[in-house]
Amino acid sequence: MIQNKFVYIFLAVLLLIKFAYVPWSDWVDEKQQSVSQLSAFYDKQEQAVNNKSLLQLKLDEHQQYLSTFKDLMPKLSKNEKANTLWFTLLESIKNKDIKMYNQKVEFEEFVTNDISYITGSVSISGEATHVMQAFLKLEAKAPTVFLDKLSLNRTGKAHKEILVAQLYIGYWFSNNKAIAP
Amino acid sequence: MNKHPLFLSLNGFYQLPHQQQKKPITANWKLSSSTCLITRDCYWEHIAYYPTANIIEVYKIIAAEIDQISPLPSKTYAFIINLSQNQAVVLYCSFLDAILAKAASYNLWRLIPESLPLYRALFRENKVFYTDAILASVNINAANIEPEKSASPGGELESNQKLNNQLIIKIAGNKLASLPQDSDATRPFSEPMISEAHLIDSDTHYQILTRYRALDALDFIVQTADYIKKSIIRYKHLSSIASIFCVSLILTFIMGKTAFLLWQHDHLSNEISLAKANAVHTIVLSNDLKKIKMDIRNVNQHLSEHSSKTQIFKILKELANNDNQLVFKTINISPAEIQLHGTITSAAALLADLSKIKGFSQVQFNTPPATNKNAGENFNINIFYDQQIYSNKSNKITP
Repeated sequence: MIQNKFVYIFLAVLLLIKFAYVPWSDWVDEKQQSVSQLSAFYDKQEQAVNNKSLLQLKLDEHQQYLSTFKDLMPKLSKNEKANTLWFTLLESIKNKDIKMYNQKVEFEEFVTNDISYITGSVSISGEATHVMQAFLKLEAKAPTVFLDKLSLNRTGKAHKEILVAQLYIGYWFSNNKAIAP
Repeated sequence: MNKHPLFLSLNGFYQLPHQQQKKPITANWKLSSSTCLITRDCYWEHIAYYPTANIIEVYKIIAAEIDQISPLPSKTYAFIINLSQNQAVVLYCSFLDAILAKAASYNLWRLIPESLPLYRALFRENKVFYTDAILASVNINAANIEPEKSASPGGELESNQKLNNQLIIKIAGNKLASLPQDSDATRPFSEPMISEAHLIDSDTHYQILTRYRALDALDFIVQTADYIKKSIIRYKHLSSIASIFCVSLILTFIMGKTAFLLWQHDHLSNEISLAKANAVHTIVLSNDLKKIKMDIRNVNQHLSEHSSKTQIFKILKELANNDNQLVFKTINISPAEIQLHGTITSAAALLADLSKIKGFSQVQFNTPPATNKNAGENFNINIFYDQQIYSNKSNKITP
């Protein structure tokens, strides 16, 4: 009788293990895994939220750097073309002592969504001093103006020497015609 | 607990410690093992040789013989000593009823005849052995059974002819105990044989006996389970309370853990939902920062690609002096290269001076210098230069 009772208890325990404990244990494992994933996600989220002010600060700082640079360069208005800006640049160095010819706009390159530069070439001739002055005037406009290539040639006879400079000029500008990201 | 080999004899229990000093134990001791060695004076033994090594056949033979082989009415046990290629050696043992009853009262059910470990350990050792351990003769005088291998030292050996081979011997009092070994030798004991016998010292004997302790862990579990079972039966009321307490404890643990996990899961989910908007904004900020950093890097890269031409002109201007009469006819400056054409008194000296300038490399003549009519030299020089050295450091967005 006692033996039978023990056998029944033993069988009941086995059945409980098989149909109650094992499924519960599986559920616990699954839940614990889910909790640990949520916990890891929550930690990351919290860390990100804690860094929000620092991120904002850094973003403002970088935006300031970029806007300082943008303030130096001409702005292209809505109906304006980049060619116009480039020619305006040449106009700014023009004077009666030098001749300017072969002005040609080459290409426009977008560096960021709202910052670009346009390149073109021009030939300047005149007395060496005047040509060099024009060249220095252009270089002084850095960083909005850069000289990509430069070719200087002395022509004419000793008493009437002329310096011919062929300049490849780049001109930075900002625009509001943002490229779609 | 019993950590040394446990012996059971008609006189009671004793343990055999390493120093071979018998240590009696009282009946109150709780034994963790079900294994027990039975002393030789408490059983009758017989060794049988069967010409087969097939374990199933051996089992069938043993099953057929075991009830008839013993001259005693008590239960007979069979132990295989050795299975070789064509022979099985089986030890039959018939324990005294008194010993069996005594063992049962201590829950000892794995009974090992004392001689079995020695038979197994020394089988096929074609030597004569003796041991200084006290081995009683295999005998059950009370049942009027003739001892199979007992003799007085000076008398003739009266033993089964199958077993009168090489032996382990011990002369104790007037008894000679013998353990037969597998051999074809038929010589009975002789004095020279005894005098040349090899000693099994107490350490070796102890080690041989302790080989039968592999199932101690299992025995301990069985004994513990048995003890618990008996305790439950004896203290039924207390057992019920303890069982209810244990079941309650387990249920509480299960429910507690389940509730805690559910709460933890919900709590984390809620926290994540609450912080979601803030986190999304942070991610947007982070992406904006990454983008703006990339923009600045791009702009800086483009700015650094264009060197300051004024700096290069300054260097070239410093080369000219009254002595060398340097005149440049053509100067071509591209992003990585400079081409110079002009006149000078010594083109080689100019080339040497240009080579010394920091950032200039591969300074070489495009065409060999030629002497002109004014006693100077026309030169055409090509130079590669490092843009980074001559880039305008101020032309950079500084994050």
